[in-house]
Amino acid sequence: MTARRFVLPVLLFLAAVALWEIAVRAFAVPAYILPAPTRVVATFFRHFPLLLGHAGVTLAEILLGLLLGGAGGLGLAILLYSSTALRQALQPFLIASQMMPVFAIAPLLIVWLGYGLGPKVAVAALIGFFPVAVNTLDGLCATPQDRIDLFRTMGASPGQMLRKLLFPTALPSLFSGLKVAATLSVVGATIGEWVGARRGLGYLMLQSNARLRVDLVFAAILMLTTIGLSLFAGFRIIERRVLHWAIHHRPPE
Amino acid sequence: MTSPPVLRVESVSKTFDVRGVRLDVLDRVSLCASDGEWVTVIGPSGCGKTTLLRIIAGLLEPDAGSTIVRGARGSRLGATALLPQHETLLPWRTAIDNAVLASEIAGLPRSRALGEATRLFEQFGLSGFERSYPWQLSGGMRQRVALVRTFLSGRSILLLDEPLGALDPLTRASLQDWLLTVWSGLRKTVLLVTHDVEEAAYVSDRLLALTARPAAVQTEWTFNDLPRPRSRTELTFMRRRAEVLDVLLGGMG
Repeated sequence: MTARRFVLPVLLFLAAVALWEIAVRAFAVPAYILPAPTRVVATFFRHFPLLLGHAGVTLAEILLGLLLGGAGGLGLAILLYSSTALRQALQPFLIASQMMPVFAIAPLLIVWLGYGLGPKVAVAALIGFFPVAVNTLDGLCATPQDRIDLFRTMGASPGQMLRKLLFPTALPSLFSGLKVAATLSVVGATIGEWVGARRGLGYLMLQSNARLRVDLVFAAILMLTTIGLSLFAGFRIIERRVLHWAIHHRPPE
Repeated sequence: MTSPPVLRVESVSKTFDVRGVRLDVLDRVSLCASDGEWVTVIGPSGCGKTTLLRIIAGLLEPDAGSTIVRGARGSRLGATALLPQHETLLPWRTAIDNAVLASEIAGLPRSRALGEATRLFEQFGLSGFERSYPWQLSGGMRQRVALVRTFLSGRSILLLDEPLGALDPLTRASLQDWLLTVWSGLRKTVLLVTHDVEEAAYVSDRLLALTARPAAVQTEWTFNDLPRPRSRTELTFMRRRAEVLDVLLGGMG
């Protein structure tokens, strides 16, 4: 059962790659339209130092964006949880902010924050903060009333209530939000680089595309995917270690 | 009986408004408890016993009447230790960390609390489970951990809301003995709410029977003629138990 869970996706992946390779060779597709996977892999390793240099920049943007977006999302969730008036006042704007495409503000951010790390981190943070805020708020609101009452009878201060009850209760939801934010912030950083950058994998993709080096575009995509998957897996591992109790816990009715 | 009461409830009334329907829950209920006394409130299910405890704990305010805890009329939150009816252990804390939660919130030194908790764990048959998480414990053990937490709260008035209600009769009987042993060692004032007649007669110094909703005090007994430790099969005890049952059944019409 567990073996099949790994074997089946791997087989599907290999079959798709093989089909791609065969199709490219059979129809003699030029490399500047669609390079064969073998060629992408070869490019990936040949230009590995170049890719790694750009990946470092993008990763820094992603991590800083995640940190800012995560902290902002967590802070906003706590704020909204503690004040019903604030929640009612901000809710429509919070949702409206998500209807606004981040692509649209990215050029503005370049104008405001310059060509450096700033606008990329901002896009990654803006795109990642919403899932963190919404998930954490849901988690906070799911705190059982029994436990809140218990803490009140113990004479707990608001700070103790937050640290010892609300935050641990919301932690599983916070992690769900962070995992979504991790994948989104990869997109955010790339968009930020597309709009204006001198370094990073998004910049490399644009440059390579303009020079018809499609194999390098694919190699950059491969690198971005690896970063995204590693982040997701990293959060999974931390989550399992921190939330070992939540796996067994069945909340009382 | 000569010491002044540490807890005094004076003709407390409470009415809830459930979707436009008036629900009279408490009707001028009065009771008091002296230092170190065990007072039990018994009554039919749903008669408002829990509401009474929530008022005393400070989670609710009465519509009329007053509640005075240790001579103070102000906020009662943090003045008593409440053991809620439903299990309220925190799943992310080990058994011993759950047990010291109340004392931790009260700001008592942790090392002393841990020492006392370890001693009480031994007394409650929980030795060896200090580092276990709630999901690894049986229902009876979880309830005992919650009892230890209540005893360790540093409060001298304990409010126990049907603490043994969900347990099987054998576990319940042995836990009653444990409770009495710990209580006589620590000399705390206990206000127990139960619907178990035998339990009430076995543990209490004084017993108040409430009528069905709206709850009013129907009868009050003082069990001076039942020396401790009591025996469940002794004749006076059995007669007293029958007396209480009689009144309760009569009250139900």
